[in-house]
Amino acid sequence: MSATSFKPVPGEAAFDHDIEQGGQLRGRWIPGEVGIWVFILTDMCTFGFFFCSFAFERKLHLQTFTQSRDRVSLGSGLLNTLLMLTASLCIALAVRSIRTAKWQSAKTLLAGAGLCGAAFAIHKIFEWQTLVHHGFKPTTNHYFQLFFILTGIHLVHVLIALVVLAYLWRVVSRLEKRPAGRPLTAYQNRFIENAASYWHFVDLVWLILFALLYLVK
Amino acid sequence: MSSTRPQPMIFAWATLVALTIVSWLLADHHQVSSGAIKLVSVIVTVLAFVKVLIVSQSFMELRRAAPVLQLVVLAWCLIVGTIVISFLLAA
Repeated sequence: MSATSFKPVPGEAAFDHDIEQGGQLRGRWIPGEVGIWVFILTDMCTFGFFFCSFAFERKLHLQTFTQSRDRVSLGSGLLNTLLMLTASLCIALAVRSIRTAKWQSAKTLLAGAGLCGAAFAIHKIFEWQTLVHHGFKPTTNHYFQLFFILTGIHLVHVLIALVVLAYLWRVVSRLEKRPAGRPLTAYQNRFIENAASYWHFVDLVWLILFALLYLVK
Repeated sequence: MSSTRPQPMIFAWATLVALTIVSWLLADHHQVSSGAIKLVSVIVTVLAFVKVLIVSQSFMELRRAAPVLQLVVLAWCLIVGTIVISFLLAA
């Protein structure tokens, strides 16, 4: 889909700051669209269930979980977390750059976020490979079953977020070629916020996974 | 709608990194008593949910969003966090 195929919605403000200045939606503004938040909140409930299930299983098999947790690399978890947080910062700053029409800066920041995300995914695969090499597989015990399932589901989310990010980069590249001073449409603005919100959601899920899978003794 | 300055986001990122390193140092320390281990587990879990709130408020811009959306995310943190911590303490 090209940037030119975006259709402004009649009657809607092209910039959210117009909305704020106009006061029409003050107190009711949401980042992106309602649809993306329905998706994010539904996914958050699903992950919330997974987190509670993990804690419950840990209660039932405490010794297994404690011994198995000592087999995963805390350094790997820390590196993964720092990569996710840095990617989130890059995207938050990229959204800010897009809103102020600093296209080159936005593209650089999006590329930085993509590199962090890709590094996370590659590192996660190497981490799995190392664990399997040492005999820790999803079939080993309850802990490793949940470890591989939860990190696997999260990795799928990261890969989807990377595809969205690549598309966002392409959209920004097209926006860069437009005549200077032409404002973003409400539709374009919402798409950018949707993509950013999804990435941040993937980041916050990892923050809990890092605590439960790597840090909780 | 958004802050035109990058400093608040960079400050949020620095706080998140600092909390992450504190959690990692706590977990990496070898406690001997089961009470200390439970306490560390609860602290790192609480810190993780605090980090979720920082990400949602700062990066996801919920600070300026509709109050109902902020409340839903806060409720998620409180409910899931309470259940998880209850199971950690009961173990």
